[in-house]
Amino acid sequence: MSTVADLPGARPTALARVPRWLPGVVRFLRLWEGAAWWLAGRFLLAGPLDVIAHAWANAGLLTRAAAVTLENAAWGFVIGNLAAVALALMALALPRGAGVVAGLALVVFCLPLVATAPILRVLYGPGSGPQITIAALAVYYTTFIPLMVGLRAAPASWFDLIRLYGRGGPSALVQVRAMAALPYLVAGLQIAAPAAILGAMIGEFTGADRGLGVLVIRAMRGLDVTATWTLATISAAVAMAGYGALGALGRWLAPDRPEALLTPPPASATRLAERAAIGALTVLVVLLLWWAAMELADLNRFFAKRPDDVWRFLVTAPQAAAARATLAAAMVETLLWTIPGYVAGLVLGAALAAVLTLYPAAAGSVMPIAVALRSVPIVTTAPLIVLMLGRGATGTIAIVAVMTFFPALVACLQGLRQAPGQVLDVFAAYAARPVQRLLHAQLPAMLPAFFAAARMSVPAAVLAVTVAEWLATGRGMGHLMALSASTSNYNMLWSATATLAAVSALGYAGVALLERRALRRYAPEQLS
Amino acid sequence: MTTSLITRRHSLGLGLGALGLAALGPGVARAQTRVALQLSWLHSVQFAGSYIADERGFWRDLGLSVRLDSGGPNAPVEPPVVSGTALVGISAADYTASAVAQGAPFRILGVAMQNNPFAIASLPGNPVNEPKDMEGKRIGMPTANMPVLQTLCTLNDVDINRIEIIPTQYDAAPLVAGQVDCLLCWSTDLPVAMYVRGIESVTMLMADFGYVLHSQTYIATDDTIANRRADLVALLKGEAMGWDAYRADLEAATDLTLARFPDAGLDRPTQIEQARRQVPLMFSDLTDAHGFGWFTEETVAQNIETLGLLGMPVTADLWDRSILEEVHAG
Amino acid sequence: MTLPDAEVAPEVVIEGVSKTFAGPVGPIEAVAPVSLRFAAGQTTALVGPSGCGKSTLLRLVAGLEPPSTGTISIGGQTPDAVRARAGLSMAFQDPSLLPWRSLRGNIALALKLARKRADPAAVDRLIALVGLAGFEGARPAELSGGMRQRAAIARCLVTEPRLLLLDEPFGAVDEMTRARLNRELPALWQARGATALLVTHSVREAVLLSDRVLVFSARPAEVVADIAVAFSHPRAPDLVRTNRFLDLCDQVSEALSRGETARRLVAE
Repeated sequence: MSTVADLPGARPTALARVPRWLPGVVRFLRLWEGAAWWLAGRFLLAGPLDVIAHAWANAGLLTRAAAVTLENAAWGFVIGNLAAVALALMALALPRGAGVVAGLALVVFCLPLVATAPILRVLYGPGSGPQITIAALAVYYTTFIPLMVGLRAAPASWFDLIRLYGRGGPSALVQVRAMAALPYLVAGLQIAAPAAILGAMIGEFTGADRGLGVLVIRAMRGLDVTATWTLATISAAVAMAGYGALGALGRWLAPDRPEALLTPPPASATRLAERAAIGALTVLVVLLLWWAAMELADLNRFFAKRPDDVWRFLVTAPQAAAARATLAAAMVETLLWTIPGYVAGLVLGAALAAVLTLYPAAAGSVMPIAVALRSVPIVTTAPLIVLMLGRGATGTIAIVAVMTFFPALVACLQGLRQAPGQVLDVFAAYAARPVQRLLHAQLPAMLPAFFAAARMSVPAAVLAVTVAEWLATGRGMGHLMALSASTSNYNMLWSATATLAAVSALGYAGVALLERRALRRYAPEQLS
Repeated sequence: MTTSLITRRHSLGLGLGALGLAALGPGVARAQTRVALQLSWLHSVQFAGSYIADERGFWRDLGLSVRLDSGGPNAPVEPPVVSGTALVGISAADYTASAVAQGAPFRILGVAMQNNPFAIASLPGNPVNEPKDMEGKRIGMPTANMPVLQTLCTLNDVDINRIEIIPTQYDAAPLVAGQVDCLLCWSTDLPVAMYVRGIESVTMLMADFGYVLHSQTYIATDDTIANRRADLVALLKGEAMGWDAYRADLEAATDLTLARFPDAGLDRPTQIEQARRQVPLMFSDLTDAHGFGWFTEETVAQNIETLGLLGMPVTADLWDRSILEEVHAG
Repeated sequence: MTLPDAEVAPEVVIEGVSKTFAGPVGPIEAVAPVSLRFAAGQTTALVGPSGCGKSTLLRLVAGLEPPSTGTISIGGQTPDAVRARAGLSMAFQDPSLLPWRSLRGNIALALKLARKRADPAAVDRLIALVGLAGFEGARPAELSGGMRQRAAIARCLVTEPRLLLLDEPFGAVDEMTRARLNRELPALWQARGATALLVTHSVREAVLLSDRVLVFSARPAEVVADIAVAFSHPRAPDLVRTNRFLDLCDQVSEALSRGETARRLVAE
């Protein structure tokens, strides 16, 4: 596997690679077996030995299920990432429309599964359509955001060079931006690999008749803890393989550390009024697309609520005040968890990236666990987290952090590698300690990637909190949406969805504001 | 019996040609109408009657080709039925009532589960034998089921504030691990899982304590009832025949389910136990007298009362027995 | 207006050109209004204190920045029009080599962007001329700073432009190599009669390579001296030891310090 070589500064030879990650994995397996032994009889965790035995005994069934899920995940991965590339190119081609494109991408990413599942199933009928779509929806956003950063991550003089010979945007895209964006694209694809598998599995919750997700539901309800953890292990193993393969691909495509990204400050910065106008336009486009998509697909108003239905429900209907109060109360409860959850996920990801930079040897133990946590459905891990940390703040925040830290970790690791070689050489010349190098050279270089992670974590954290509410606290928007869905209260469900999207967008805008302040100093090329 | 069913399944699997040939079988030359039945959960013996109707050609003989659409945790039944993707859906009286309150034009045509399967499961060392026993205990359940617990408490004068509600997934592990004292679940799933793992449990069926609510109800839209009566009659007739055959031979029904869905991760001990436990929920003196799926003004009145407690005021118009009357008339 | 002839070196005319950037605490005047004329086929050296706006002036001539006021004409055409037909070339202070391309690939890129046919033999000859033979397949990261700068010069020359804009092209090159490049490179454009603007910090280099030296004061820059260098090309190696050469160097140095003094007086 590739995890060690992913680290900044780590240039292991083929010989050095194997022994580096192997002890970590062995340590992890022993820890796992020990935990399973300790928890025996509580039906929460099965150890690696039981898992291997179960996998061996059910090899045929598991292989067939994995084949179905992985095929859907692969299609979702391809489609979602192509969509991300298309969106990023669109935003690049229309600089004034970039805000609208980014806003639209954000809102679609905010749609919770409880709202989209019935629509997808009705649109596609039986078959793999919803699974593939949900997998694609799970990956496009975490590729789109780093790609947007990467397409700008080049010094101004490279673009001057293109213009010098009378060539414009297309040449700059092919000769400079595409190559400069490659490391960022690879980071996005690495985040996408586990997300696609998870998305395909969750997609099977919408009424599939086979696949790993179906088996997970069955195993959990059947109290078959060995089967549950075998399935978790399989999905984690496949995700790790995908993550590693993509990392290797990235190193093969773009092996060199970039040169210094020191550029003159941008000539112009958009004014506040202009940004407000873009925001208003985005809202308008979102509402129009929402309405038009449902009308064109001729979706029944019973479950596919239009913007005007939500308006009526929340503003003009006789019970509107009560509905608003319910919604507001739930949203406040959710927000109280979202902010600590968001910070926890982000800090965990960035801190882990920093630790791995300081102690590259830890990567062998940490990265497999990180990828595994991200690729195992939270429904299997949540009971363990709740057992260890309870249903209060600690447990809930832990669930949210587990669901959100991974993009931050991968993006920050990638960002830490962007520290210019010449700057690192300066630190080497003064025999600076790794901590000094991290603080003064690598962390500033990491900032664009960190803020990209911070932005894409906003909607992820909001969704994660609703899941934690459903799994552990039984409060807030997660509870409200589950209850609304089970009572066919699609008005409330879509109102909740719209509220979550709006809150996510506001959070995103807030982070973007902070980002502009920070990047003006550390990475001005990102602001043009 | 087992082997013949598997053989039949395999011959069907050889290709659609087999289906076409079979359709020409016992004197039925009509074209097959293609319809879909939206199930309420993943494939299992919970729907074995439908599989029998399909595999034994009950529907084919009635001129129908029925696609059985799987449900799931995120696959609500009502949207595909409203959209016409499915002709009929398998819902429950409370789900149907709330959908109707939200403007969906549904009616209940038949009732597969006469007795509601909701139960309180507990362990013998700390049992819940009657609703009063829940007081002072911790109950684990998905919080979306709160209205169910609330209604049970109201029906039995139990103070819900004296029950500690622990939000959990729909999973027996918290009970076994001692995190909760009892679970709100179906008597046919989590208790069966514990039984199969050798864990003895106490199951208090809520239907025995006044929680009267039709479950596994067949629903269709007003428009379908007005314009596609013949298809509805054929569909429910096939269902009735399938479920009667199921009752006659649970083993065969279980084996058929296992053979039909080799990739669904079903195991025989769980399925056969579930098949056994759902029989008393589905068949009663009422169905013995009038036929599968039957309901009366009296049972409807009891349902209306329970739904009222659940906060869903409905009238008897929610039920329409005319299709079922045609099914059982011939 | 006559049709531009790509084969003829252009005259560069700058009239009333200024450039103001938006800064954090108000506008910064990088170039004060200036009018200059650079004769066709001449090499002009621009010297002056750091930050006086020489580089900005070069970027304005290249059309990479629009002037805040005034007009720039290159052989009767706008910079944009000249760039559009790849009629000029520029070497930046930073070599700006693309890290994922080999040395040869970086140089060939200029030809590709200029829509000119790449002659591999000609590219390799140029690489040899800048002293990088044997490094054709190397990535920029594998080259030293001076080697990268020579590669950038080769890239600048490979399209055979009629107008060359050189922004301290020998800054990071070691003294020995610099002397050799000073001898050999100018012949490449002067033999073809290209117009060249050369920004440099070396007084000796300015006099050695150019036909004319413009000395700027500190910002806001004005021309404090315009000194003609009337040596014929190619210049003999022992020219640098002649009294006339040393006199010219003294003149330039003296003008530079006059510009410094002027700035200090303004500041006080």
